[in-house]
Amino acid sequence: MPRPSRHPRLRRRDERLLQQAFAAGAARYGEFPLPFARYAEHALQHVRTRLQRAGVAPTPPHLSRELARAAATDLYLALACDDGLPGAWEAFTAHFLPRVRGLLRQAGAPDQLADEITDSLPGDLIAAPGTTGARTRLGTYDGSGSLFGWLAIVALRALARERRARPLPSCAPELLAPAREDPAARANSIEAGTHFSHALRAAWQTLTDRERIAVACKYGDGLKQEVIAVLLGVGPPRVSRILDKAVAKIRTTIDAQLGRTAGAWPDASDLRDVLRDVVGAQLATPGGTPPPTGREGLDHGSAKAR
Amino acid sequence: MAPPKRADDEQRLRALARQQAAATDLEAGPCPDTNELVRMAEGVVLSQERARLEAHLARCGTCRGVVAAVAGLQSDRRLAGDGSRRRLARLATVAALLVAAMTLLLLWLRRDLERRVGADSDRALLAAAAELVRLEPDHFAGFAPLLHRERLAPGQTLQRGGVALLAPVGKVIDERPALRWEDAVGVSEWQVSVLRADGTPLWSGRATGSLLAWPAEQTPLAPDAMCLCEVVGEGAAGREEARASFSRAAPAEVAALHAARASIESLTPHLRALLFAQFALRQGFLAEAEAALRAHLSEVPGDAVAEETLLWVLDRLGAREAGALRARIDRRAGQGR
Repeated sequence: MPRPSRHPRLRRRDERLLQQAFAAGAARYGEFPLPFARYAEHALQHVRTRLQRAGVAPTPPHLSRELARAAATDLYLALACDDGLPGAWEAFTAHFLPRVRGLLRQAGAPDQLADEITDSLPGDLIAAPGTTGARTRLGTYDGSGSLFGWLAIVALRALARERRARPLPSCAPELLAPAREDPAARANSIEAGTHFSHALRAAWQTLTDRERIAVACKYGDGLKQEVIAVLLGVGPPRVSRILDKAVAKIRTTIDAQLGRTAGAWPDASDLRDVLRDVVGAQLATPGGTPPPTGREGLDHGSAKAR
Repeated sequence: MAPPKRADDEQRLRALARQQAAATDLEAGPCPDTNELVRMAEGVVLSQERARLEAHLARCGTCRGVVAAVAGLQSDRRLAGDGSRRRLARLATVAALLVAAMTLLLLWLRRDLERRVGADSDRALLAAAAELVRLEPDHFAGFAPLLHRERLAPGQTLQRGGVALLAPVGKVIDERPALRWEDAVGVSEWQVSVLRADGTPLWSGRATGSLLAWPAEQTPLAPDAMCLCEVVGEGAAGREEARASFSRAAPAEVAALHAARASIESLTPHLRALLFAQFALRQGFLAEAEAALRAHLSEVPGDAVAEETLLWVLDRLGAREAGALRARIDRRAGQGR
């Protein structure tokens, strides 16, 4: 493999790092006729854009730090695909599509649906993103996380979209409308439920964003605290404290709203059961954002980003 | 209105809660792009963008769901890594236990060795001797100082007869060495004879005390010459005699001894007397060894290694002093225990 030529705007240490990633990418995914200078410029441009969007000045130390953290090996393949270099897309599909298919099945997608989403992925990714800078949707991958993680997000969003398009049967109507109940009792129950709904809404409003994420992930998705810790960028013990604080807030608010004395819940597990249902429903019926449509669904933040 | 009773209809309550949650559609805003969500899921988000992304995830179930799923993958990988780390930790624990066991064994062996070797100065002697061998292999190749056990082991005396001939014994340097022997009760005059190796007399003389200089008129010893010295006297208990062989060292041996002394004094000055004595007696120069040891003991009275080494020399000479010295050493060892 020819030795990569020097990039004029890179610090020597950063250039060495990128040269290593370039070589590692070639070793892992195959050698494509990709000039190093183009690759380095691409990586640098992504890092600079990312920093600017986060409001961080793209000073040399910041650029170096972000370059060091970047998945620059994956970026090599993504750029080769974006440039349409021979063999690049073949390498991409061979390396990633089986894993994406497995991920979708693991996420509960039926085999047929998993296959459909996986098979349509290359076509979606090779299409133009409708923005400047990249030729394909895959070219919008900026290397800040792993390429597989990026594809997983794309595929899981597609799965969520498919699930919304094929709604699951709900059990709510039969629960909410017990046919053989005394009408007076039913009215009383609905009124009580309304009160409780208000209490829950009020309780949810008292939570911070972190607490909402922690509660939703814990009681809605049943995620481990280690996973929540990754999301929140903290350690698992800190997640425990966040959850404890959130549950205490919810309990206090509900007690106050329903006119109970503080701590009237028999035990925390009851409240957690309810929370599990609440946030589970939230996940099943996503919040504020309308379901993405068409190609936007694959990378629907990119339009905003660019 | 009374608050809802969970006991009445908890299932309904949950359904209502679910409905409430579905209705809690707060404004989540536009979803972050895929790159930002990957960063969130993989824990590499910039601190400056974290608050914005968290605010969105708190409100958008879809994004939270996909990010949580990818984060779960990362976590599984990490946990798998933790498993490897745990295995490594177990291996490290086993290795640490082995190392600890080995350390204990080595400590025990060292303690045992120390017990056998004796005093600290003996360890220092061993180390210094090893250093000499390493630095000057020409002079000290094969040199090993006497260890505690060897020093105290009863040795075969070089003497023949009931009285000890203290000098010359072994190898001598002087061409006219002085003769010295132990006194015996009632002996007023000693007949002294020096014989060649073939038994022919070299010279003879008489002495009233226990010391006689090599007569100036007699032929000096030739290098490498082997001789036998006999001292005979009539005492109160009958005939008293001392007999021992000796040889004059070759010039090369003498030169080697002097060179060794110089090296010892320059390389290990703190142990020069002991080391030189041990080296000399290993080469057969008993008189030089004895002189060095006595000089050392005059400076460091009671030095265990020096006393034990001197005992080794006196044992070979068959000197009466050896008995007293051994008793003192044994007494000290008994006090140490």
